[in-house]
Amino acid sequence: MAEQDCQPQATLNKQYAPQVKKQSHARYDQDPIIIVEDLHKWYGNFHVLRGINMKVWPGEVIVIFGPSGSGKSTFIRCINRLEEHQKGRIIVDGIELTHDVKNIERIRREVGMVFQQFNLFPHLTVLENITLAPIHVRKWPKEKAEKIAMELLERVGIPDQAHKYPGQLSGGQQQRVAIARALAMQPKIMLFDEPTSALDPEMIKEVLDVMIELAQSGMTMLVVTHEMGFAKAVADRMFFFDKGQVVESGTPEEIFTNPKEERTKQFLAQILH
Amino acid sequence: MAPQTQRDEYLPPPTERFSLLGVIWKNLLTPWYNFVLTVVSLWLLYAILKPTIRWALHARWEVLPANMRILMTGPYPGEFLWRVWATLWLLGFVVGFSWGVWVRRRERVTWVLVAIPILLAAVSQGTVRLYWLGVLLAALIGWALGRRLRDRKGGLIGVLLWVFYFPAFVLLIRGFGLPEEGPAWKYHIAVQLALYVAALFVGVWAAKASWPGWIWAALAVVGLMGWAGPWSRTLFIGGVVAWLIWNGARRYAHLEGMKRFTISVGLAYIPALIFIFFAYEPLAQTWLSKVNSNYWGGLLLNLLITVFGIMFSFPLGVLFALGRRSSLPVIRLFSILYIEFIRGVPFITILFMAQVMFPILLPPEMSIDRVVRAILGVVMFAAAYMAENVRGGLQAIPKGQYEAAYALGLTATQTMLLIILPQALRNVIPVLVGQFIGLLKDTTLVTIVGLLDILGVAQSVLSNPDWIGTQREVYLFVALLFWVFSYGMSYASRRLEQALGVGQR
Ligand SMILES: Nc1ncnc2c1ncn2[C@@H]1O[C@H](COP(=O)(O)OP(=O)(O)OP(=O)(O)O)[C@@H](O)[C@H]1O
Ligand SMILES: [Mg+2]
Repeated sequence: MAEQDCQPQATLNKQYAPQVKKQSHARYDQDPIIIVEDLHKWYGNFHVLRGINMKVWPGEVIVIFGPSGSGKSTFIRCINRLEEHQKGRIIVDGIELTHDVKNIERIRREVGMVFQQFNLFPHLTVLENITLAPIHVRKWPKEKAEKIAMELLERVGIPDQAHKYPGQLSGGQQQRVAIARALAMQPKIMLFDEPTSALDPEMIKEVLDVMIELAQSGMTMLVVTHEMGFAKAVADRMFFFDKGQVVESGTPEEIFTNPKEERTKQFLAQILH
Repeated sequence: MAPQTQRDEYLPPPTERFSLLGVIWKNLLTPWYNFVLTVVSLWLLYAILKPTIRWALHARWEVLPANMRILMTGPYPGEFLWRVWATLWLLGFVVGFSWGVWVRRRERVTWVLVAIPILLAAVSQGTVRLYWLGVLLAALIGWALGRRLRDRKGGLIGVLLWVFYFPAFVLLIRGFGLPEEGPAWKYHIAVQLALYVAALFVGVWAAKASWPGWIWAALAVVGLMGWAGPWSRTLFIGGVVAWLIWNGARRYAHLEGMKRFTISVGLAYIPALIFIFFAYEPLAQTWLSKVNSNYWGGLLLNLLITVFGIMFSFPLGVLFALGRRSSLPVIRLFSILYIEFIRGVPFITILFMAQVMFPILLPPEMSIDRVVRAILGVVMFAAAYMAENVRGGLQAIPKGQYEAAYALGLTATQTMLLIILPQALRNVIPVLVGQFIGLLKDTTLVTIVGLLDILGVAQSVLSNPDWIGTQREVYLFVALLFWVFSYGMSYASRRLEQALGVGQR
């Protein structure tokens, strides 16, 4: 594959350099909340994930980046079992992911996910989108679910859109609704798969601001993104994926100022210019 | 690339003053070929309309009023004809109520609906005229009530009215006979109903506990062991149904209003008991005595088959559509076989098969009458096509919708019911309504298996020596009726699409 093909779309928003006082909420004294051991996955004969190892501690913000097709999405989707792995172990919040449907549902309740394409439910209003899972999965009474939904909409900055339909919102607003929808289940972990890649530059900021606020509130986050400004501001550790493997990992300082692997250097050089 | 546009092309066109003569001159008379076309069209129109109008003026329209009753209801006994009218009064009431609750803007269709009973009253005579005015009156009462309750549970009551309309409709048309077992049946029914109510209460109030399920299962097993006796049958059926109710209640116990609903069902048990013990027998012997389905006919039969055909084939079609996409090979294979088999056989063949096969397949004591067999045939046929249409709708839903729902922790069933089906069905409304209209028109085929639907009645009228030679009048009338109903359905579907915002959201 030519190097040029691997380059992600121009996701780097050079203007975005938030000035936040970096402070980690990672609680390394506790047990890891996600443990991935020697994870392998195949699509037919195609070996997508080739032995991934990762431990994530509560409160950590992890940024995953790498060229297109390197398996970032596949990896993150294995963590809430949207994809099934064939070898290795994934343990989330003390529960191992197996074929046991009950375990899968338990884990999905604790793991929120935000998608590149938002995936809001177009037939439900913003408020209904957010309250659906709390009502039907957590079995909360409607009033409680709506109260919390309104608080979340307040938090992501769009309380006035509660009764609109997703189709009537801008991309940035939709993505913020999607974040609120995932947060409404009060998850312990949030997964983000390129949450800003489908957005226009001026909308990227409003979504990233919400994500930074979330990171600073101590949420455990796994974020696939090429927004290096975001990574510098809040990431505790970064993982560089290539061809289904973790080529390099480390703190943002290590990765940006002193990458060890040649492949990482090349890739960073591509996306930082 | 679009050709470069001059800037002034975007300016609004100069406003033309509308004048009839101007339009005629511009569109019909100039240039010369439009003029020729206009003359030819006018001549053609005259050539066609002249004999038609001459015929219409001399036609024997009296054939219609003279046979109106049998065209509408076939051989339905005259002494119970008021029951058919009662279904219309009820319908008027329910429609009126719905209007009062839901229709807030001025709608032209309101006037059409009001005009229908007035017009029909105007063209009819004697008691029939009063009956039509009764429909109007019921509608007005319903409307007034609906308006008053608009902001107080009106919506819920409206939905309930529609839900209960259909059983009430069947009850009125069919009436009921006395069971052969003698008076004991009352106790059986009372016990079964009590079990259901109990299951609902236990399910809602002990939602978290897991033990009460065993009660119903045990009842069912005890009942099954002594299947022969009527009491054990009651226990078996009661146990199984109660188990289902308990399961559902437990699952939805958290929903708003579930407790209030349960209490109202509990309260409804008392009037139900009073009805069973004191009202059923007197009614069955007098006003509501049974009218066998052999006596149902005319337009009534067409509409009945249509309504029940739609009501049952729709959920069945959805199930087959889901079955065809199921990951379980047995279910998938069964669905595919069913759909492809039915679609490979002509409708008439299925109607015939339904008439002859069901009596063979079912135990002799469960004989079902011919109308029900025809409805089953229609349902089986329509469900297969429905399944394919719904499947089309399901396929249009992006994978991301499933993933988002699963990621939130929804189960596969919840995802289907809350996320996928609402979107899929909304997208296929036009296709489904097209199919419903087809179903309405296909009901005329039941004439072939010997049922007296409106077409069957029409044929028998035409073979009456008094009315020989009135085919045109009769068939034109039948066609007009079908057109009215088909158009009504098509109009309703368009409004439904608008209301649900298909293609906008
Ligand atoms: N359902 C599938 N069936 C077969 N191959 C797949 C499937 N989904 C993904 N792949 C392949 O797996 C590889 C990894 O895909 P993945 O989506 O995880 O990449 P990614 O790192 O997220 O890339 P991007 O930055 O473009 O999103 C790609 O080569 C892709 O073609
Ligand atoms: Mg991806």
